[in-house]
Amino acid sequence: MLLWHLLRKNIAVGQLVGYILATLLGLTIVLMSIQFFTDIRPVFSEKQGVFARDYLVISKKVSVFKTLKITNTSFSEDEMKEIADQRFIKRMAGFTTATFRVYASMAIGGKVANLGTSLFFESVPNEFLDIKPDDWKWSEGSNFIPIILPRSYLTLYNFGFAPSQGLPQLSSSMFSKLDLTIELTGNSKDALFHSRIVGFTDRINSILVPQSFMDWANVQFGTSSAPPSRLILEPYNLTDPHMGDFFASHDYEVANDKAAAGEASSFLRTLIFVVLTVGVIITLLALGLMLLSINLLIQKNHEKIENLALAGYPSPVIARPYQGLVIVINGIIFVLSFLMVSYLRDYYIVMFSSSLHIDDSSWEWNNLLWGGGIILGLTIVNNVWIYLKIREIRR
Amino acid sequence: MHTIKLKQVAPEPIADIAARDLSIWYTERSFECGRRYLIKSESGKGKSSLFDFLYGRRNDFIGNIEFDGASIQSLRIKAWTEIRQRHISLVFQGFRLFPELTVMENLQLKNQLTHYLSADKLNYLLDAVGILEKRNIALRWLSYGQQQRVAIVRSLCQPFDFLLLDEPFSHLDEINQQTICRLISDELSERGAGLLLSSLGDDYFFDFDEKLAL
Repeated sequence: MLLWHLLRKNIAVGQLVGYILATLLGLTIVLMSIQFFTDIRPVFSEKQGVFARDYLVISKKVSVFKTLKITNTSFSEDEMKEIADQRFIKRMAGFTTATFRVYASMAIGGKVANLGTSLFFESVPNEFLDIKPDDWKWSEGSNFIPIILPRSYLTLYNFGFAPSQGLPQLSSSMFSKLDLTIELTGNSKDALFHSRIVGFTDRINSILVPQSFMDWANVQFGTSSAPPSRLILEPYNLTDPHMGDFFASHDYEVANDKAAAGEASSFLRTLIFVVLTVGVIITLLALGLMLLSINLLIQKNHEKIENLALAGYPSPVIARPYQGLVIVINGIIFVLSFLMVSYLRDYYIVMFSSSLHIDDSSWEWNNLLWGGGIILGLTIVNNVWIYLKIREIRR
Repeated sequence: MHTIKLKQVAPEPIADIAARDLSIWYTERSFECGRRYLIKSESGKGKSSLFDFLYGRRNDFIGNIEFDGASIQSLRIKAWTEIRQRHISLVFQGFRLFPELTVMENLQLKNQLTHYLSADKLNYLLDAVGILEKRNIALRWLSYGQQQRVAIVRSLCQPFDFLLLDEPFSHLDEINQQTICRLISDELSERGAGLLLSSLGDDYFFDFDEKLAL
């Protein structure tokens, strides 16, 4: 106590505040970049999102004749065989369309609210999906239907529907918590199912249910089995010029153009890296500021420190008040920066979850470790510096 | 610590002019615990330097100094801290007190480190040197003579084998000198400790075992 009373003189509050602000800024930027990188890691690691492996969805062009059902938009057996035989096609599957009526309503707070809509379901074989959620399975007798939505629907909801209806914007993980009740009708039968959105796809622009469920339901409730009107293809090489010619000559329309994917990926990586570097530099400059500030403080208190040493005070004891101060300050910075990152994260998750696959489930202990590690590092450097400077005075 | 031994020691800065024919520089000289030594010389002959060497504050000397047979050149900071807490107490000419702290805080700063004196004993000593009523006043408001007495009391706030006083009574009148000399003598006898006192000429009021010129 007495020692603190003696040594706190000459502490420059302005310099400390400067250190706190600079370190807070630097650390927040660093943690933010790490957190952001972790959140969108699925974008880099899984084969999906804007960086998906290259799949194509083709359909026939809709024309007046087709609307009038003079010709139809579904693919016949022969057409499918012709496509599958092309050299550039690795594998292919048709979309299975539900031939029964689907009505979905949302349960809010345990009650079935008035929010409901007619829907349609489609399915594709699992190997063509870009995500494999844990709940993505159905077996006969199960009352739960998992649903995969296109990510673009999330965008539609958050930026089109929600603001206009005064509804809250939702992140993908919040969406997945909604309980849906699904009513199937057809073939003079009906049935109720529970359902939940288990994932979002960037590849297929449709409302998907497992193929096993679709096959079963089409038998139970379906009226007829329709040939597929959309096909999903995996080509060997997306840039094969023969492919474009083939589709054009057959009047097929191609969805999912992913040409810019690779560039976007590396751009995003570079951006995060640049921001991270800036954060690290700011943190290091702040550390430099603190070291200079400590130098100045110890120089100003030079005589007192020497006299304490001559009175028999060991260096570690003399250093303790200053080291305590550094620990308290760095602790404050750590807590503040952590709060700021959590706050900013809530903000960007809603903003980006509709355009990027964000995995916001892992609110990162990882990040806590990084932040703690950086602060611990700073504290150790500061404290060792204080100790060395005080020892320097003794001789 | 029992014996301090000087072997052919001289301060480096005055190595050429240090007197070779007197009793400290360039001789074999021991100081024994329990005995009292007066070191007398005019200023500039290295009295304070000697004390600085013995207290580990400077080491710019030639020759060798030994504490109980062990050279002090090899002592580390930690060892000096121990010596300053338990074995040697020094009153500096410049006091080296803390002006912004009160008299009592200055003493406690030392006593909290050593836990040597009781509160009663501290008050008794302050009373004996005549500054008890100043105990809660910041040191910078005290006269030099009063500060000198605080420095002397502080030097008693620890155990020691040798007490080193560097021209300790320069700002005190004769009556005060007498009181304080008696007080210190009592403490020395009680602790069985040795005394090294430097002076410009005065003997003050001590019974010295040896008087050395420098």
